[in-house]
Amino acid sequence: MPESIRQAIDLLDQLPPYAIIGIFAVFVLAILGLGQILRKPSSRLIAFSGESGSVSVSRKALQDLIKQTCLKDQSVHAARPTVKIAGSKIHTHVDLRLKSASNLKEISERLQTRISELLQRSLNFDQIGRIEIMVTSFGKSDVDEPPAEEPSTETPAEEDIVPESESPVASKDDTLKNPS
Amino acid sequence: MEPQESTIETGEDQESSLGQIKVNHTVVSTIVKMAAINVAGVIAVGGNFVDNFIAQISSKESDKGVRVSEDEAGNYEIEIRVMMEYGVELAKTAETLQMIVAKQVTNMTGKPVAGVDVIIEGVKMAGEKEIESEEEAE
Repeated sequence: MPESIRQAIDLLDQLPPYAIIGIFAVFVLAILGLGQILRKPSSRLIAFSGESGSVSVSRKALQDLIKQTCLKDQSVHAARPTVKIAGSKIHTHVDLRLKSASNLKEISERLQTRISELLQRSLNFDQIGRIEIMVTSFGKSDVDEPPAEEPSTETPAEEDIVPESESPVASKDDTLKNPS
Repeated sequence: MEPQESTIETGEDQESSLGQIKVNHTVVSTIVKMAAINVAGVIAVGGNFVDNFIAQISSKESDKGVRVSEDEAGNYEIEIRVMMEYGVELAKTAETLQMIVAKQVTNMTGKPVAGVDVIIEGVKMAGEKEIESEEEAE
């Protein structure tokens, strides 16, 4: 072990507990501050642009919009959407927890239609890419926890789901798959 | 000419017979916020909780949801980040917001607005608006 590290450990041993807590707090704040400084601006999609200015929508707003639309469906207990903006197209993936084991195909297709209509109606988007729906679990639990990571059942929303790495419209925005 | 505070960002001077009129960009920013919050469908100006918290400790105008600048001709260029209500037509609401903000700023400052860029940062249910309003009232 290098001498400097050993000296640092000895120094920490000599410090009272409150001083160590203080140092730790300063360290955490410094990390948070650095994270804030280096934080990337969230990716946005320009809905339209005119003489009076432009209107952009953040990824989070799109996710909020899709989530609320899914939750409006009586069969859906929880939804976790992920939106990818590749070029001028929006690709959506939604993890769903349903209240009961219903007709998955029907629910998935219904949600796909609603999401597509929503994006077209609310934002005049016509560049809508893939809308993938994945049912991850069933059952209404009292705890509103996010859907489980391990999918128990899967309903492909489209026949030709392309892996992310093979997406023909991949761009640098792909790296920002999940901002949360 | 009287010395000016170099730290205060001011708009282009407006000459009148009695003297100069200057409008601070912070004032324009406040006008924009007040106009925006009265537009139906707009819940809040600014970003999420974290962004708003940072805005409290930050001095940057852009962190507070509104950024005001001027183009070469001296017209205002405004950028505003908003949270909108779920269920409204976002594009139409954003257009209305652009129009109202531009009109209000022009009316109150006498300077034209070159453009209003709207960034929709989030979408919330109407109930969340009521909760926020109650919290603000408290």
